[in-house]
Formats: sequence, C-alpha cells, structure tokens
Amino acid sequence: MKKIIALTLSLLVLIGSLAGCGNSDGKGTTETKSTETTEAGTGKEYEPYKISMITQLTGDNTFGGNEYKNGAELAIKQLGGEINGRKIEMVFADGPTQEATLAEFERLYNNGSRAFVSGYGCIADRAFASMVDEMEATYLSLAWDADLIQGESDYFFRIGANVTDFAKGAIEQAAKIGEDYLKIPADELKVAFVYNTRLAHVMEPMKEKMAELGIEAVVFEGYPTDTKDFVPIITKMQSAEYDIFIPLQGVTDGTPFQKKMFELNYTPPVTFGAGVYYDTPIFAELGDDITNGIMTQSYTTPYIADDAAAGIKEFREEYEQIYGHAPLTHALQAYGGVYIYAKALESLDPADWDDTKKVAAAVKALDLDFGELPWYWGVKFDELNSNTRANQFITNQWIDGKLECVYPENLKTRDAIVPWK
Amino acid sequence: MKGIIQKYFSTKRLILLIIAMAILIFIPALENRRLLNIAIIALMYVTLGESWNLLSGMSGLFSINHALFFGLGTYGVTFGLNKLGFSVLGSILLGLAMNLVAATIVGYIGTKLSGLYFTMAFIGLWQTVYTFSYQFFSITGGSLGLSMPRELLLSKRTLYFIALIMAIASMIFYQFIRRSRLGTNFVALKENPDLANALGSNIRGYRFLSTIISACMASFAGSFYAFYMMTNNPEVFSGIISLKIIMVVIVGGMGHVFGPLLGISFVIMDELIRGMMPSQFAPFSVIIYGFALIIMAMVKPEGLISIFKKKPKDNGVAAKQSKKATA
Amino acid sequence: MLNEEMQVIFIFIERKRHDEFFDIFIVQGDYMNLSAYINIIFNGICIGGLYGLTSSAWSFQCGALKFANFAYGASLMATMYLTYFGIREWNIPAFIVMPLILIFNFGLGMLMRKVLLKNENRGTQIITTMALNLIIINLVTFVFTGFPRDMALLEKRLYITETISIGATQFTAFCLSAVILIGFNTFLKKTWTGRAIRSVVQNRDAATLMGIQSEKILDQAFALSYLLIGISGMLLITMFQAEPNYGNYIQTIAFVVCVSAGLGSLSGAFGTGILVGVISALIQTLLGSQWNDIVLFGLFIVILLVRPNGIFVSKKNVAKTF
Repeated sequence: MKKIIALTLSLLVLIGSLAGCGNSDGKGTTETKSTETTEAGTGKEYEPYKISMITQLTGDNTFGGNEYKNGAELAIKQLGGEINGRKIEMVFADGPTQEATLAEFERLYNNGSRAFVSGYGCIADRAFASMVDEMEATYLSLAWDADLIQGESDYFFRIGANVTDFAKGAIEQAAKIGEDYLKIPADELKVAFVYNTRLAHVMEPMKEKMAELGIEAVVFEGYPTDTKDFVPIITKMQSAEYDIFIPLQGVTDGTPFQKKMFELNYTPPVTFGAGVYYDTPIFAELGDDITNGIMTQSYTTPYIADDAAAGIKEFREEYEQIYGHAPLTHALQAYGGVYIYAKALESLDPADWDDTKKVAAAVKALDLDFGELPWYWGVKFDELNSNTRANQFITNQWIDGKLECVYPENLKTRDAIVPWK
Repeated sequence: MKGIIQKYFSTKRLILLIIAMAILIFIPALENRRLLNIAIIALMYVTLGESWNLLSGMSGLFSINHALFFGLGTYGVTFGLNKLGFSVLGSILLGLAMNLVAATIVGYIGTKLSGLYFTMAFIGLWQTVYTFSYQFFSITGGSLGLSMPRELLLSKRTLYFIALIMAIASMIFYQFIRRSRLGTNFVALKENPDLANALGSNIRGYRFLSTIISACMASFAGSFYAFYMMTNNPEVFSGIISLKIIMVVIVGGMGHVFGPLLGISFVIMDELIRGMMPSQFAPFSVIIYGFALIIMAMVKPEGLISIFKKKPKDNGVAAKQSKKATA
Repeated sequence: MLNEEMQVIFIFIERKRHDEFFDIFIVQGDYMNLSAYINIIFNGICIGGLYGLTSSAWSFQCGALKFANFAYGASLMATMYLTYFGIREWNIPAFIVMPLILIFNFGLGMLMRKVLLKNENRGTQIITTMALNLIIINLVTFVFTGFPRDMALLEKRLYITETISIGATQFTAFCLSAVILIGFNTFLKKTWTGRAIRSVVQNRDAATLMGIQSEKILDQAFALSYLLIGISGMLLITMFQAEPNYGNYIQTIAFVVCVSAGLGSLSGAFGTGILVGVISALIQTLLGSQWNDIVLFGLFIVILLVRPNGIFVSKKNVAKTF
C-alpha cells in the first residue's frame, strides 16, 4: 500500500513539472528589465544603461585583455558617464577560455545586459554571431575573421578591420616600400616570409596577394608557436638573398627570434612586420640596436597625427596618466567600440534605450566619416553588417626607441628612413 | 520483461528515478538561461565521464588526454558542415570516423604495451593532433576556428534535452555493458589480466574494443559540443577538459555508473561561483579541481559513491589487493 | 675558405604549394652551403645535449625508480620561473639563488614522493601527477602571470671559422650537461648511496634483507633526480624563455628521447637527446619548421609501436606486461 502511494505521489510530481514546462514559451529570461520602468514622461530616474564586455582578464592574454578593459573604462570616463541625461556604465566579466566566455555571456544576459562589445581576442564571437539574433542583444564585434558573419543579421555587427584587408594591405605596403625606397618594382621584389602558424589566417591572404603582385618569397617558413630554437630559420635567411623580411609573429616567439638574430650578428636589409608584436613595448625593450629601422603595419594607433582624429590626443594623454603606460592599439579598439555605442545612443531618446531593437537599428544606421571618432576609422555597415570604413591601416617605424607613424600622408608624423642607416 | 524491471528497479529506486526526472524536467521551466547553460555543461560532463569510466574505471586503461576524442568529435562536425558540405548526420559520422582512427592507433598501442607506455603514446598522439589543429588553417580553421551554419542554431531548451537524453543514454549504455559478458571481460582486463588470459579471454581484443567504444561515446559528446558552441577551437583538446573529465569520475566513484553524477557537483559548483569571485581567481578553479582529484584519488579512491554503497564484509583482502603494484 | 672550396649545392624538394585558386611555386631553401649546415648541426647538438640532460632525469625516475611522474615538465617550468624571478625581479645574487633552487627541488621531490607516490598503483600515480601538473601550471600563472619571461642574456658566439660558430652559452650548457651526467653515473656506480639505490631498484626485497632501508633510499633517489631537474631548469632559462606551457613541450620531448633510448638508461638518454636535437634541426631545415613537431611525434609513435624498449637496447621484457 505504501509503495503504491509513494509511486503515485512521485508520478504526480512528474506530471506537475511537465505541466509547468508546457506553459513556457522557451525564450527570454525571468529577470529581464521590463520596459515599464522607463516609460517616457514619468520623470523617473532611469537605471544606468549597461554595456558589457567579456575579456581575458586572466589566463594567457592578460595584457591584451586588460588593455581592452582600460580603453573601455576611459571611454566612459571621457564621455562623462552619461549621454542625453541617462547614465551609462561598463560591466566587465572574465572570459579566459571560450567556454568561460559563453558562460559569462549567459550570466550577464540573465542579469539584463543587452549591449555587448568584444573582449580581447574575440574568442567566442563566432558563437555569438549565431546566437544574438535569437536572443535580441546587440553585439559589436572587433573580430577580424573574414568569414565571421554568415548571413544578414539585425544585432551582430563587425565594427573592426577585416583580416583579409589587413593582410593584403601589408603586402601592398611592402611592395610600395620596395618601389619608392628600394627602387625595385613589385614583380622583381624578393621577400623572406616567416610566420607563426597560429597566424596562418593572416598568412593566407598575404600569400594570395604576393602571388597577385608577382612577389617571390625566397624564404617561406612557418613554425609552430612553441618553437624555441630559431637557428635553422635564421641560417636559411642568412644564406638567401632577398630585399624585405616580413615576419608575422606573436609575443612569445618574436622576442627569442629577434634576440637570436642579434646574437648571430645578422640584420635583414629591411624589416616590415605585420602582427601586433612589433608594436609592443616588449619589443621596444630589446633596445635600439635591434629595434631601430623596423617597420610595422598595424591598425590605427594612438600615435597618429594629432589632428587626424578627433580626441586622439586626449585619449593618449589621459590613458598614460591614469594607467601608467602608453596605450596600444588594443585600448584604442575598445575605446572606439564604446564610442560607437555612444553615437548610436545619442541619436535615441533614453527611454528607448531598453528596446534592443531600436538600439540595434540605430547602430545599423550610423554613418560616420573617417576622423570623426578617435580611432580614425569611420562607421558604415554593408548588408552583412561589416564596417566598410575600417580599412585604413598605417605603417609605423621605430626610430630611436619611439614608434612613429610614417604612412599614410594624412596620418603620418614623419617620413620613413629606408634602408636604415 | 517484468523480471528485468524488478531486477533493475526496486520500488525505492523507481521513486528516486521519478523524482529525479521531475527535477530535470523542471529546470527548463524556470526559463533561466544561465541555469540551463550550467545544466547543459554538467550533463555533457556526465556523458564524458561515463565514457572515461568505461575506459578506465571498467577496463583499467588510464586515458589522461580524453579530450582528444572529445575534440575530434567537435572538429569532425564543424569540418564536415563547414568545409565539406556534409549533412548533419554525415558530419557526426565524420567525427565518429576520425575518432575511430585515433582510437585504433591508441588501442593498438594499448594492446601491445603496458599502462605507462600507453599513456606516453596517448600524450604523443594528443600533442600531434593539437599541433595539427593549429597549423593547418585551411582544414581546421587554425586558432580562429570554423563557424557552424547559422541555421543549425538550436534553442537552449532543445540543447538541454539533447544533453539530458545523451547523459541518460550513456548511463544506460554503461550499465548495459557492465552487466553483459563484454563488461565482465572488461573488468577482467583491470582486475587480473593474466588470469583472464590464462582462462582464454582475448585480452588484446578487448582492450582494443573498449578504447573504441569509449572514443565513440566521447565523440558524440564532442559533436554535441559543436552544436552548443556553434564553432570549434583548438581549446577543445586542452588538458583542462581532460582533467575535468577525470576529476568528475574519480571524485564521484570510478567504476560505478552513478559516479559521474556525483562528480559533476564540482563542475556545477564552479559554474555557479563564476562571476562571484574576483576575476583574478580564474586559474584558481583549475587548482581546486586538481587538488580535489588528488585528495580523492589518494584518500578515498572509491569516490563519493561509496557513501551510498553498502560496505562489503571486510576481511582484509580488499585492502591488500589495492596496494598491489600494477605495471 | 670553406665557402669557396667546398660549396655544395643542394637542390631541395621543390614544393608546389597548391592553393585552390592560386599556384605559387616557392623554392624551399636556396643554395645553402656547407657551413650553414654545420652551424645548424652544431646548434642541434648543443640543444640536444641539454634535452638529454633534461630527459635523463625523467628516464631515471620512470625507468629505474618506476615512478610515473607527469608533473615533470611543470616542475621544470617552475624551476625556470623561480630562477628568473630570483635573479631578475627579486635581485638575489646568482650564487645564492642556485643553491636555493636546488634545495627547493630536493624538497619538492621529497614531498612528491612522500605524499603522491607512496601509492604504488601506476594508474593512480599517472592521474595524480597529471593533476599536479595542471596545478603547478595554474599556480605559476596565478602568481607570476602568464607572460613569457626571458633572462635576456645575449650570448656571444664562438667563431671556429669565419662562418661557423657556436653560441657560448649553448656550448657551456652542453659541456655542463655532459659533466653532470657523467658525475651522476659515477655517483651511482661508485658511492655507497648510489650502489644502494641500484640494489633497491634491482630487487627491493633482497636489498631490504641486506639491511638497506628501501623506502628511505627510494625517497633520496627521487629527490636526487629532482636535483637534475633543478640544474636543467637553470640551464634552460639562460637560453630560452619561460612560459607556463613550456613544461608540456619539454615533457613530450623527454618522452621521445627516453623511449628511443630505453627507459632507465642515463647515458643512452644523453646520446639520444643529441640525436633528437640534430634530427629536429635537420627537419626544420629540409622540410620546413612546421613539420618539426608532427614528424617528431609521428616518429615517436612509430618507435613505440615497433621498438618500445628502445632503439639501441636489446629486447628486454620491460614494456611488455599487461
């Protein structure tokens, strides 16, 4: 008898939960901010609008992750913390791995975040590209993957540069340097191309462009990230004859490589780096003997001409003042991302900010020219929500321990010295 | 039929089962995406735990980079769907095929060599695949990964139910194998291979088979992960995932079907704490996993499940046997 | 001189790299002359010698003492970090740091042996040391951050001829490795403790009957092998940079070396280390650096399948148990 009662009770519990399950509509959360609190005309205090960023605050890429965080914070500060009378604030979460980023995304979404900016590395952006349309959250991605966006979307935007543009631009720049300074036309140019295989996605468009321009890669070496010993590669470079050395390296391998070249008493004729390592202070620490004359291709950095972009000087100076070191392009990227939100939110009534559809539409409708935002790039999205005005890159050169912008004309601070004397 | 039901499900167990089912079905009703997310990850680790349990708990072959099989399943699906244009089923089968190849290599080595060499070979193979996934950008998407087609995005509830079914199926499958003749042979592999060999059991073949079955289970979990994450990434091969899988089983109870169920309590706790602790402590969770694993393995090798098991009559034989060195 | 008289022209694999849309013909490796080759091989020998020293500790632990220690790479990496921080960040003079590091390693070895490796079950050892591996890596990341650390010692080159040179630090490290290994071997052969260790390894029960305290001897042996790790770590940090995942890489190289040499053979480990160094250098030169890891580990698996007891060792029934 007892057994039967117990069985029946448990079956009832089961049916109850099935019934509760059937009533839900399967989407959304129970903790979304309802729009009732912000009806226009009530004169109530609005809740601060949250812009969320999940970035690598711990793990392998703490440096970059924290730069993003600093840049975003500085943006909020320089905007005065409010737009059109309503406060805005940043919410940060730590996403050292892809799984952690997704978990944090869910957690922040649960707590009401509906506006996101990529963190450093943009590691889970592919997942978000698929998800945000259904979840109705705006996402501004700084990822540069060429195939990130798979179709039309109302909520996912790629605001940064495209890796293909970057890579091809680098080769074009190298060819231009060959023509202007070395007096060698592109189809007779010889390069030594050494890359870290983790940057293979940058290497592939470069290879295509080299074939297109007729540039011959006399040395073409890819090595795995954990390579410690570079003597074979450098010996090959020593034996070969070429005009420009193009390295694509990360921080862990760039330093040993440069050191080894220095120990072997070998300097390539002209070095044109692509990839963030050659911009970093870590590279600068190697000393003028190694760094002088090396050129790099990068995104717009805080060191372009002061009058090129509105607010770039203030950004640079205040960043250095608050955070103690000179800002890199990462901080500027995050800064730019928050500013894009700022411009979009400016065009809306604060009451409408909680309607994600309107915010996304405002972002999509943005039309800003080059130079209007501190990061120099403009904003104009094509049908697939890729920013068509993020394709201007700059060439820098290390001169006496300082990184100076030498190209293009309107952004440079001085001319290049090629070959280095 | 009635006999089997009575054998497996006494009334007490049946009640527990029904209440568990009630809880599990109730979770999606809360409509809390975060809880659903945590539940999905936990259930996936149950499946992975059962697969490791089969290989190591039942058959005694310690696989310390189980994430290899898991990752190959993920890569198979994304590669098939993105680059080759296979259908969903075809891609899952592709992942399965890749796992079969890896399991064959590992299993073959396992038939010839003892535990230590098996481990070293496993690590070598893992390192090769890990490097391969980074280097060959055109095939694997390198460090950026490949996207899954957007049309295949499943709602979190669907994912939850798939994970739930997968977890339950893996547990039933584990128990089924355990109670079958095959399972007895597997256990013989672990307990006393020499005796089993002397009795005519094909030890080498069974080692092979258990590796393959375990790899297939992990492959399904990997394919599921591809649908959950909508992308792939060389991170799926990471040692941390392997550590989590091992921890889940060892903490819960190796060799017992409900072991992983108890073990995922750690995973759930970690996910719930995330965001509450200051962000500098992220590597800390791995440290806690590691310590939990070490402590459980040293102090209580039977795992948490032993709290629920009835203690057998202790005549000292069990204690002596557990000290015997197995090469 | 060598350039002109003995110039050998090597024409390599003219590799066609077919892309779907483009055909680029890139000739791999131009005219590399002999002195370039000699440089590369010398470099490989020096680094290989160091790998040999590093692997010999593992070989000793695994083969002779029969302890599966998968926290080996992490211990090495931790040594490297501590050396770096001691000398560069905390500004302790080098001659104090070195003994401190050695003491630390000795202590770590003792601790591991007493806590983790008391349990003779190989499977448990593997799992617990794996967990310890990850713990150490994450502890280092937590305390020291994951940033790669470099001692930034620019080494001088010793020029044998105009074009052939060896790095001074590399060469010193190589000689030191050889000396230390010979010293360790002598220790095992000639001293009382060494002989005790060998006897315990050969037959523990008989050794106990002879009056040797087997457990204590094993503790000491393990801790001594950790001293080898300490020395290798200090040598490695002078040449390479340290990052948290460095240990995994070294561990896999140690596997390759030890399995090829046969577990337990110290001098074999050194020789095979040099061989691996040279082969690695040659693969990088001839095939391209990206094939290095894959070919090396592929060979490793082949060796495991074909000759698991070691390439140079006659067939012993070491590996072939259930």
